[in-house]
Amino acid sequence: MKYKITLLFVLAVLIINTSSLAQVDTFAYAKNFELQKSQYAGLPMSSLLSNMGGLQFLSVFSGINVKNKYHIPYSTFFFEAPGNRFYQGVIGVTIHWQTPILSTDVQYYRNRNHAYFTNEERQFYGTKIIKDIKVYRR
Amino acid sequence: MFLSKYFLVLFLTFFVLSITILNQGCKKIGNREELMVSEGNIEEFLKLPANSSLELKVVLADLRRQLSRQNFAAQFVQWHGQPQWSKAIKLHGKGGFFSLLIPCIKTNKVTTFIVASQKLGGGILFELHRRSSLDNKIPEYSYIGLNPNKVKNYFSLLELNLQGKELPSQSGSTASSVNDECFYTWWQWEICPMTLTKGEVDTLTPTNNAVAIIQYCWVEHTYEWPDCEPGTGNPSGGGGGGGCTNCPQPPDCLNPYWYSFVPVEDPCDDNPPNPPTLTPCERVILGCQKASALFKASQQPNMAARKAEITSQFFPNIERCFWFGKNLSTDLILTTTNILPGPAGNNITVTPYPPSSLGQLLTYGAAHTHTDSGYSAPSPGDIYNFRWVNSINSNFWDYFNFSSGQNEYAFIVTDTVLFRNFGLNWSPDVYFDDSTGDWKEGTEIFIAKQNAFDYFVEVMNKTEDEAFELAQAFIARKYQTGLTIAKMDAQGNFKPIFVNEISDSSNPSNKTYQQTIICNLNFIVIEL
Repeated sequence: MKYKITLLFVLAVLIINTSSLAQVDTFAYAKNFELQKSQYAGLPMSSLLSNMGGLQFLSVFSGINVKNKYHIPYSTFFFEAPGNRFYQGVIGVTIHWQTPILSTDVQYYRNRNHAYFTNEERQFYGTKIIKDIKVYRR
Repeated sequence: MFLSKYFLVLFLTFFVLSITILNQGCKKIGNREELMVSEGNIEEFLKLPANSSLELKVVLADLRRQLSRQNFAAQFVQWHGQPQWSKAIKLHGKGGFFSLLIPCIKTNKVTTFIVASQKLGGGILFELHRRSSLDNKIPEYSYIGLNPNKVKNYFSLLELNLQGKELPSQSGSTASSVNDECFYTWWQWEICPMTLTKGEVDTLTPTNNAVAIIQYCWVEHTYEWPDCEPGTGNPSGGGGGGGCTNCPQPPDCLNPYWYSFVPVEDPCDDNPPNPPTLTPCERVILGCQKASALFKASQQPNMAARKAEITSQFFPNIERCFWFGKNLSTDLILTTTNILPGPAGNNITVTPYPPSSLGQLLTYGAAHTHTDSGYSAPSPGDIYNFRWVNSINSNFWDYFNFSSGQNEYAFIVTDTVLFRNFGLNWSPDVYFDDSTGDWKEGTEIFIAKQNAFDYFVEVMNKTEDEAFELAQAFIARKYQTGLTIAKMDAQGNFKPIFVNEISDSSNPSNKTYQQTIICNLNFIVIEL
């Protein structure tokens, strides 16, 4: 009985550590793109997407410009599905665009795919030119 | 033995005498047992003649609200007698819209008069002046700004007025100083004299002079008390209108207006109970009522007209603004400036006072437009802008923004301390990005706003405008701005917007957001 409890405890600790490590790894992974932003600035987003490994974006949310709601100045990409994006501490990669994206274009994809980062989004955003990259925990 | 008995008798006599003197020196009308009366009928207590003045209606509306929270009508009548609302006289005091003196009678005598004063910001302040205080030589104070030396004379004036004894209206006395205790200047609600010109008629009276119906006006009266001895409060002296420069300073009190007004209290009471204070949810209700009234044509025609003008056209990329306030502190109808366009780029800054080119005004607030390319709801810049103008002009408490499609918003100040501290706790240098008009990217507030915005767009299928409005309402509460965002409904009434952040019970780190009609400001459920 005693051994079983110990085993369960060790397993729990391992699971928690693994989950934390995964978060740390995701953060470090995303931060790496921020550190190398000068390498991507001025290039289409497809260059960044092609350099990504196994960890891919699963959702995208639009930023806003309070002074002009028709222009999307930045978008934030998550390694989580849209439904999990509202967990505290999830990591978002915010990409500012060289030229703001028209909100009508973004709305088209939002209505179609509901914030999922599908191949359609990959193609749409892939052509947009990166101005800056910032990484935040939400 | 004999001496000790004698001493005991002497001591008891002294003790009884002391108690008697103390009681005499602090004689009260009624006693504690008499207070145990049933609740009075509020509407009976507040009953007004149909032709009453708007000022009186405003005062009674405030009193009705207070009575609905604590019904002291019966106690009041028992202590002070029934207020004679229709016998109220009006004074134009300094700094407020108006002051009404309302006599209360008991056994055919004016025992007390209520002073109801509308102050900047629209609230009504009350205080009581008791004949028993005068009889017992208890010092008179006034927190509202009435000259305490004149209280005795006001009693005489109200008594004469109540008895229907007409004091002659005199001309040429109105120039007398409000500190001149030999002159009274006051207004009575009476049938308008035929000779009264339109300019002399109070602005709130019916204005259709062409129709042969009986109209009531505030008619000015002045009276010079004969054999007056200024500065003494002598009953044979007289009094003018407002406060005085050398009046005795009232003692400190948490809420002096309530201290003086709540009828179960008395100047003889040493320790008044803590006065009731408004909760943030109550402030929201009152604030919305006040904001709504500001744009009702029946109450504020200038404001309603200017709002109609500014919302008739929204220019692309250019926000426009007008300021409002009073020309004189006694005005009841607010004045507005002309409309001023801001610079291109949806970037108007509301200033604490209108530019001098638009004329001078005792400025209470401003309204500006948001263009179609901007979001309808108040922006982060608006929060900081409002905070800034209020820090410079302490009378500036009303901040509106109008957008097309009848999206019209007001900031309701629910906590002045939080409002004033917001800029210190969340400095615009750190949390605001002037170039985007948004919260500064990456900051805590920015992330919180973006989370709420994304949730309302993606999960709740709101439009971006709706999501921005809800996200801003959420931020206003979460970051304790002391403000609540209210939106005007189709009936022209501002309604507060409340948003809750809810943690998933199975996974607290998962946040959802929900709009609610339940006031969430003080964690007391008040359905609005």
